[in-house]
Amino acid sequence: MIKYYIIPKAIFVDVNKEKVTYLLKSIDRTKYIIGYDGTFEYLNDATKTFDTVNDLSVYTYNEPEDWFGDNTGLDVDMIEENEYILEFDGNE
Amino acid sequence: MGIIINPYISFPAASFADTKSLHRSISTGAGNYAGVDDSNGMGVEWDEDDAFSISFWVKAGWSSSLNTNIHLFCMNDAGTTSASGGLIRIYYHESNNRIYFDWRSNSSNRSNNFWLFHSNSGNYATAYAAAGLGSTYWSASNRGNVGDDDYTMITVTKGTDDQATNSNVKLYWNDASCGNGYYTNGNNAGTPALGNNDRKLSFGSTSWNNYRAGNSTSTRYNDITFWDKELTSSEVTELYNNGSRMDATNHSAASDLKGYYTFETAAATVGEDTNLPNGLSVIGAV
Repeated sequence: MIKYYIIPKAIFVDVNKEKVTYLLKSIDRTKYIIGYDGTFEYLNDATKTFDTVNDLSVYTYNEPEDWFGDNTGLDVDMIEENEYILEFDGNE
Repeated sequence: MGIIINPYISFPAASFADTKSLHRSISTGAGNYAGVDDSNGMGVEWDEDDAFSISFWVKAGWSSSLNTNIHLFCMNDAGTTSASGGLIRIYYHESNNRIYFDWRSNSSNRSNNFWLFHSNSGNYATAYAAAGLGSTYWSASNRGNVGDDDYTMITVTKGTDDQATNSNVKLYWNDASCGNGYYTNGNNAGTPALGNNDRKLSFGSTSWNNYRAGNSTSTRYNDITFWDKELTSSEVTELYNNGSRMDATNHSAASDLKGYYTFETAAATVGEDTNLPNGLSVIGAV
């Protein structure tokens, strides 16, 4: 089951990328939202946890400032369809 | 006997005016809407089995701080207020440098494909070369390969299959094919069933709520065309016209031209123009 986490940039380096399904870096690149399919090893480092993609979507609409230049959030489908691809999206 | 050229004969200037464009920036909701309220049978009421093409010129105005998507073109059933119901859209995810071409009847019945531009390897080297962005993402400070006035012509073409497979859809950056997209089964669900209802057309934002228009600096759009056929590569090249926007009514495929918006006036050159903006804050110089 995929859950979503906000983690500091430094933690992402060590995360198992094979289980990452989604990645969004903050505008200032200091923190990342990730989708993770499995038991997340760095739960204690996460500043926020979202049990469902709906919860994450609600968060993005409530607090878009750090994440989006158009001051609006992301719908569920925009999160689900914009999957992380390790080969192209970076691993750090 | 040689040819004598009379220097006093002047030829009339081309009648094709190109002085204005559509300017879109961070959305303020319905007041920032730019498009056509109701296609009213103009010929773009396509379903999932129809072949069609959509083309437009865009001058990127967003910055690298956009960090989300901008809807370059979007349409869905007239009157619909959600991301469903005859939805066809072309949007750019600035956060990972991808252009998506997507259609759906609802979130459970959808198909899309996307292209990325920063990987100069494998299947993706074609799009890398077409865009000319290098390893940096597309934005106002990195427009890649452009035609006149720093505009890029973006064209999507679709065949008669209901899924966005690589054999069924193509993306052109100017007149260059972007090759295969990243089509996977994961990008698709169910079977889209769009119907042939009248559509609301939105230029530079979502059609259901008028958001996703970029950030603070305007992105400019010009010469948006809708074609009731899958344009061929040579027809796209003809439309690109070596980077100089042309009068599309003179295009060899003009008999399939169902919508044509130059923003020079409030009237469409071809198609419906209900509430098409003219002279408002969203219309400005090329």
